[in-house]
Amino acid sequence: MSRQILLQRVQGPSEALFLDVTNGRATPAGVSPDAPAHGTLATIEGQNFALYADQHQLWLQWNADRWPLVSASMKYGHDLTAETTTFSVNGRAFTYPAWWRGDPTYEPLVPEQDELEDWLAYAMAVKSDAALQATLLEGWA
Amino acid sequence: MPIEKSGDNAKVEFSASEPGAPVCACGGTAPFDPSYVTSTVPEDLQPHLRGVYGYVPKPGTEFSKPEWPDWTDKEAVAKAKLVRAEYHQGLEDEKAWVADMRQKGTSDEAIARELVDIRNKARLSKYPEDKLPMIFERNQNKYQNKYGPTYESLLKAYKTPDKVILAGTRSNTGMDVLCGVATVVPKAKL
Repeated sequence: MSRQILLQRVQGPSEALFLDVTNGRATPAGVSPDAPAHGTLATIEGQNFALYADQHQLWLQWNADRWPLVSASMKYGHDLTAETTTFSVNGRAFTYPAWWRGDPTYEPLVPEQDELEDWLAYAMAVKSDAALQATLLEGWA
Repeated sequence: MPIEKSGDNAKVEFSASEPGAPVCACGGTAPFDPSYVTSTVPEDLQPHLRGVYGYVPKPGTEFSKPEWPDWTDKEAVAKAKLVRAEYHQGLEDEKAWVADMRQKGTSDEAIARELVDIRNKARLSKYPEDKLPMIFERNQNKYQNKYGPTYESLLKAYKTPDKVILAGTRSNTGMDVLCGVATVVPKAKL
């Protein structure tokens, strides 16, 4: 049975989307992009990723799969030679072009800049910050 | 105060400067020691006698890859430490500016809006002039704003102005331990 959650896209065209949590499909919600939502969504290389509040906890969703954020095992790292980034959650990995590919000012020794440039690094930051999780859980309830 | 008025990104103009310019344009000038102490060993590091600062990345973790500095090479690590020190100087300037604004009674929303513009401006100032059209186009596609992320988009991701402020002030402790900016001292010794 399908179940939809209203999310906001924060990178790319600003829009509100319904995410069907059972199959990971996102469709335009037809409401204001600023309508109160339950989380955010990013589409990276055709893959839908979402972070949202549902049933009193935060969830990370990747297409049709989702995991409670607190218990998800997540990794994020760059291949500086191939200029790719690999994100993995609970052993499932996804490699995609690094956000800094072709950027002459990229400084790998400052990995903190990833969070503001790459939605999956942002998800990692949320995972590592309990206070931010509490804020999001309250704000997205 | 080297800060553009926030709220109308379209009017903000940027000039390019050499890469390596200060990370933050907040204007801090006080002498700054970036070193700090952490009580826990970052989970991606392990103690090692050959590590310049006593630690190396665990095999298979992010900073263990060959493209990163050789963490047992004093010269390579010294260069990396300079980069980290500059990053921390930028953070310190930013924190001091935020504290000053709060003391003056400025709301967190106003501070966060201005800070987002400051960060965008600082970032763009690192690009050579000929690269700006490329980064403007990338930003426009990604953020719908040629200068970079907007306050509104960050507020959707972080929900509150104070979390938007904090988003740009994290420190990667693992990197800092490897570079000698952070020192691991177990709690019992603190």
